[in-house]
Amino acid sequence: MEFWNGKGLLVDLKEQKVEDLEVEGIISSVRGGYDAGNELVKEHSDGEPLVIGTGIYTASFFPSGCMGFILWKRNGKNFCLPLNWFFPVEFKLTGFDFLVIKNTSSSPVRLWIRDGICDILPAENLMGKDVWETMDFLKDDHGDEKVQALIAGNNSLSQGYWGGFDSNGCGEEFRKKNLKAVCVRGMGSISISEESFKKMLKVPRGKEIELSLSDEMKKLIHRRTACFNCGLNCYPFFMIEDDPKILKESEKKDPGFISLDPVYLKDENPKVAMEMLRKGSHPEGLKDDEIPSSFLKFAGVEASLVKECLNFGVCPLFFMKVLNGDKSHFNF
Amino acid sequence: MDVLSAMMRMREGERVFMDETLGIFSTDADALQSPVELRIPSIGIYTGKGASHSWLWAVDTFEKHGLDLIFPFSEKEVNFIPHFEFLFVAGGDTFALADGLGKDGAEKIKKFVKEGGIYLGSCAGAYLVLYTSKSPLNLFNFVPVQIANFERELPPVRAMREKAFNRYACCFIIHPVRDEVLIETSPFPPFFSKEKISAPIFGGPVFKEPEGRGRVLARFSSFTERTVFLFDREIAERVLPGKPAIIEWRMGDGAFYLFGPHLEHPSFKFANSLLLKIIAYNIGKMRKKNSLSDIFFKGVPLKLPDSIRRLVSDMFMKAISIGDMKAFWKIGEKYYMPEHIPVFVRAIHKRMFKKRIFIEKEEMEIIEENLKVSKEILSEISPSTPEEKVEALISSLKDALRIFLRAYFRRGEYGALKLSQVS
Amino acid sequence: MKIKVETLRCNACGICEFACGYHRDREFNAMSSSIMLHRAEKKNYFGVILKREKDLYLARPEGAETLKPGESTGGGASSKPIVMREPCDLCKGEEFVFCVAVCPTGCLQIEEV
Repeated sequence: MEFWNGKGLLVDLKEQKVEDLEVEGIISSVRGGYDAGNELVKEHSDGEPLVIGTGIYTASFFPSGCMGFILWKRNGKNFCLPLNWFFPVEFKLTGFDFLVIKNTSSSPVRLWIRDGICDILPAENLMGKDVWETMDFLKDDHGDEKVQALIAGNNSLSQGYWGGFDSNGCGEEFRKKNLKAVCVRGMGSISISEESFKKMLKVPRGKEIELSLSDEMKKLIHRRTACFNCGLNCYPFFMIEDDPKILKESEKKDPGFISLDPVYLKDENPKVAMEMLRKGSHPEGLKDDEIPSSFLKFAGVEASLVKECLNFGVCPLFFMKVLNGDKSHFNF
Repeated sequence: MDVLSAMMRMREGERVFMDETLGIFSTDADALQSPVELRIPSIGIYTGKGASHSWLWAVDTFEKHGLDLIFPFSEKEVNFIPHFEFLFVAGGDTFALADGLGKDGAEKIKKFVKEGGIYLGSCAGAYLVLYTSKSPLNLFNFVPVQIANFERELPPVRAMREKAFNRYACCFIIHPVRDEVLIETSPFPPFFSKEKISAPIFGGPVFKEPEGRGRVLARFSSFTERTVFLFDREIAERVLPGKPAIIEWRMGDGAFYLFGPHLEHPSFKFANSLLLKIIAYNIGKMRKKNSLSDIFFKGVPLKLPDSIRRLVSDMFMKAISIGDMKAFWKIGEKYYMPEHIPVFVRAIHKRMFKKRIFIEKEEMEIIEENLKVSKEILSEISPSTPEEKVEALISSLKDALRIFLRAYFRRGEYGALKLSQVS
Repeated sequence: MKIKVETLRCNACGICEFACGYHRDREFNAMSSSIMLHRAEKKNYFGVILKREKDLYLARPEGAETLKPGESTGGGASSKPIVMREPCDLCKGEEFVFCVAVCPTGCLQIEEV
């Protein structure tokens, strides 16, 4: 299947079992990843599932094709946590398009996914470690800097070191399942035709956006970075413990931070922001939004458009700012 | 049509012919003077004691060009030699090759060639069969040609000392250059025209002029911007240009083709074409009967189990992570560095996603056992790891690879290849 | 013609690796790419390593470095496997150089020599 692996993973934490899921049928019958993910939530509703998913153009040459999501239900209501940065791409390149996590483990565990394999590993040694310590451990244990992870922090789910938009309880769902982290490394491949490749190169790539930060915060900016395959450079690195002008690798252990959700910076207190990211404490705590309000604010769009973009795996902010909301760019 | 296109079309199922007198290729036999139909021959590749990692280049190159009746074998499996049509022995440690193959291997190789088999020797595989008085190499005295890169006194080394020379009794086999050189082909079969081709040399022989049943198929010509000089340039200029780089030595119904440069290196397309021309030219003349089907076609189509894929995946990441380690280990006469290890692991890693391979349960157990041994050593590897442990790591990786690749290239009765295409 | 790297324009988006991988394998995959993103995420230290015909070009943010064959990269774990990969062929046989075409920031450019 072009753009897809056609495979999913089903993990039952209670039974400690992993099995492959055939998802070609679902993918072919719906509009895209988000809709397929919702079908999987319904299909596996007996196990209070968390569904981690990707969109059509996640891990492709479509600019900003970096998006994924986590879907779940709580008290009968649907919830969605959009994921950006690099986790969705690494996940899709492990050979799976979706991950369904059901039930609860009797002891703390983490998932380690790569090359079509998923292992349920004990995570007692990670209890008591904060998000950054956990991420350091995962990169070291698996011996690869490119490893990405979703980590249950203090009150939220963190995408690697840099937080994320979870203020609607996804981290809490992880904790309820005794799931400390989902760790991935994608070394596989996705099939993309030459025709699609050439068309994707014609999609406008945009350019670096203006950041709305105070002058004090701007002084701390080291180099600006971006999510996978994106040129908007939404994410400056704030260098707190070293010279922001430094170009060689800092010798400080934790010299600064990136915040995927700008709301961490709302009080303009970088040290506090860094500590919150380290601990996995989202400043908005636990709210009842279907899609976190801070994400809607970041992307500048309504929920329905977020869902449409998640079908395609494309960043909604990019979709509005660069593609002017023109859905014809999605037709291949 | 050149030989690379010819191989591609043959791989796609077309009938392709070679003109034996002119060396040209066509899908139309009537368009040629003396057409011989090409087919996929059986190629045994030695992977055992003494073989380093360059045999994997041969596997990649042959596979890329559709020559995928490949049978890797070890020093314990010399009984398979009579079943092949071509035998490829690549680079590594020449003394260890001889020690591994032993008297039995030597006798099998000799009989193999005499009965019409074609021996392809690259680098150490070429040194192996040259005349010498030193044991156990003297078991393999098949080609009475001497080497020109031989010095009684060692000149000052300019770079990469560990790769610049090998001691040979009280003298030295020197390697004046590494990496890309230009060689010029001879205008008769199997190359049919004079051309300058770039090819990489990594310690391979520079031959002296063969006499008797020998022919020079290509000579070293000159150096390029990529050539790395391990001694002063004057020494390289004295030793290489004009000397034989590829030679043929006929014995009985078969022949030895020996090359100093690695014609099998996958990054050198035109050097690969020379190797393919040697094979194509000899397919038509093959007097030896191919009996690969006796040992090759077995197993049932099975998916590689998660346990093996898990080992390979985790080892691949670990192997890459140690690539930055500043270390080297001398195993026999060969130096291994951390960056060599991912080459072995990647050879399985990039192929293990194939849905089904024809494999027997015992073979899967051997692969898994060897990978477990490799993983254990790899997890604790450091610059101070003793050479014996690194040797055990390389050895177990090669054993796992050998069995895996054999299954990977195997066709069962369910496969696309018909038996008639093999005989 | 060669690839010029303006390292300080790099934003570590990683798409260049996949573009080169597509040239090699016609699949979305970075494992055989001649260009690699080296990144120490926590330190925000990143740049690309380009394996060229004659050398290894390390486009470090503090200044580029060129290594000849046989010299150590010192470029970190994720960079080392590039030593065993095929060198950049400037997308020989393609209509354009893929990594340059996909780079969203203009970090990678073609320079006529």
